[in-house]
Amino acid sequence: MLDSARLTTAVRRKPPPVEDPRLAAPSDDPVQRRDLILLERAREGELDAFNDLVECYQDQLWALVVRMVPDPDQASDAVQEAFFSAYRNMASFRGGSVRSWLSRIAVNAAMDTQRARKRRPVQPYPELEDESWQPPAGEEADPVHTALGAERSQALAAALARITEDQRAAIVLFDIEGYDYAEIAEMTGVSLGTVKSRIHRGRLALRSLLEGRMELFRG
Amino acid sequence: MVEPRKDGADHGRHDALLVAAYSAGDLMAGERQRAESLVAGCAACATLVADLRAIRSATSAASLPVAPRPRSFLLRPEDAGRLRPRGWRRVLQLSSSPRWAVTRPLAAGLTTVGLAGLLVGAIPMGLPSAGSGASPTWDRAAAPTDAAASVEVASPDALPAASAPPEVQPGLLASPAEIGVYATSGPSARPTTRTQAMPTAAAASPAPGSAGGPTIGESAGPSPLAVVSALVLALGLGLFALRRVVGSARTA
Repeated sequence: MLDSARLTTAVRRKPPPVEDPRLAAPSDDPVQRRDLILLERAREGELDAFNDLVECYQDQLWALVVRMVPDPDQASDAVQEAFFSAYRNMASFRGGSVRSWLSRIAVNAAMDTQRARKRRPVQPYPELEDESWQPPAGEEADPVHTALGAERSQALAAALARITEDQRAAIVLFDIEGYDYAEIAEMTGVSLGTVKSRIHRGRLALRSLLEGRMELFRG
Repeated sequence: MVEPRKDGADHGRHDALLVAAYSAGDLMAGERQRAESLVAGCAACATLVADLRAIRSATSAASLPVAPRPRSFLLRPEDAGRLRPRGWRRVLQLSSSPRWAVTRPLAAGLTTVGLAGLLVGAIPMGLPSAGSGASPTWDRAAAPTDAAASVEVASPDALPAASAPPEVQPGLLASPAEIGVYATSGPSARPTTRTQAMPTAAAASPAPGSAGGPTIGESAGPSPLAVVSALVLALGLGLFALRRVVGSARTA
């Protein structure tokens, strides 16, 4: 990630050209302003500027994609392809949030990978086979609570891997990534109603898959 | 997907999607009232609402296991050069994009349209010469041995004098075969309908042999249709050639 010193340097190195109205629009959000500056410099040919963006967002995109694509190898390829695609299509950026733009590209890459995965099924979420995995310890470091949380997380992750890819993408983007319906609709190229329907049907499917283990989630 | 019937046979007929939308707070007033009455009267629906909210809380808690990022996704300079090439390499890259594939049917279409246009443009100029070649009667009339007779017969001024067919309209000239018949058979052998007479460009021009009269070949230059068709044809062929050149450069 960019530290504040590097960011300051990056911002001062070259101001954005004022002739581009998409990028010259002032942004109150310093992160968004930083992203626009980096993207503009990348569009002018500075690979380092683009790699600064990669540094900023590769963890987020990885977390997003690996939840949509259960196989880590394929998820890794999808994230790399997403950054390749972003670099190749920087000219298509139409302003707004760089994070949303990158996420949209990553979602598309993940969905492409899942379509290919149908032809080559793999073991979903192999990390779940690792008994040593534990969720991050929080304030409630009670062993019973921790064990319950781990079991709940694994059950939920296994169920997520079994619902349709469209429903999984919608649930991951809404529940985990925190995007709203409109943003998800834009990212996935479907209507608002379709997004809601996928989320609701996905939750019903999860509940059906978890039917024998719902006591983990109740109370 | 639907809760087993715990409290009666009706639950299986309840709208689970409506209940799910209700649990997410996505219903407008009318549907929300319907869902509320459903949940109030059906314990299984009420359990479904509670379960769906618990699942949402669990997924929103972001405690799902995420494998650690296996590597850095930074772009290397060679990646950048491959993804955004400059100069002639950029042209080669464009040639491998799906958009470039459109050029093949485009080139085929342009070539076809150009050829068709040239053919259509050639027909009006080609008809008279083709007619003269296909009509032995006309050839005979135009033969030097019978030149005087043919000139008299073919000339609108001479026709009335020789056989005087009164129905021949100005601007219309009987076909060479019919003219030959008129010349030998007289008015009794005239056609009864005008459709048997064929208009030709010769009708508007002075009679053959008259001084200074332009001939068909001299007056007709390349038509606009022919010019445009030739350009379209050249464009199509040029596109084919460009595809070939770019394709061979890419493979090289």
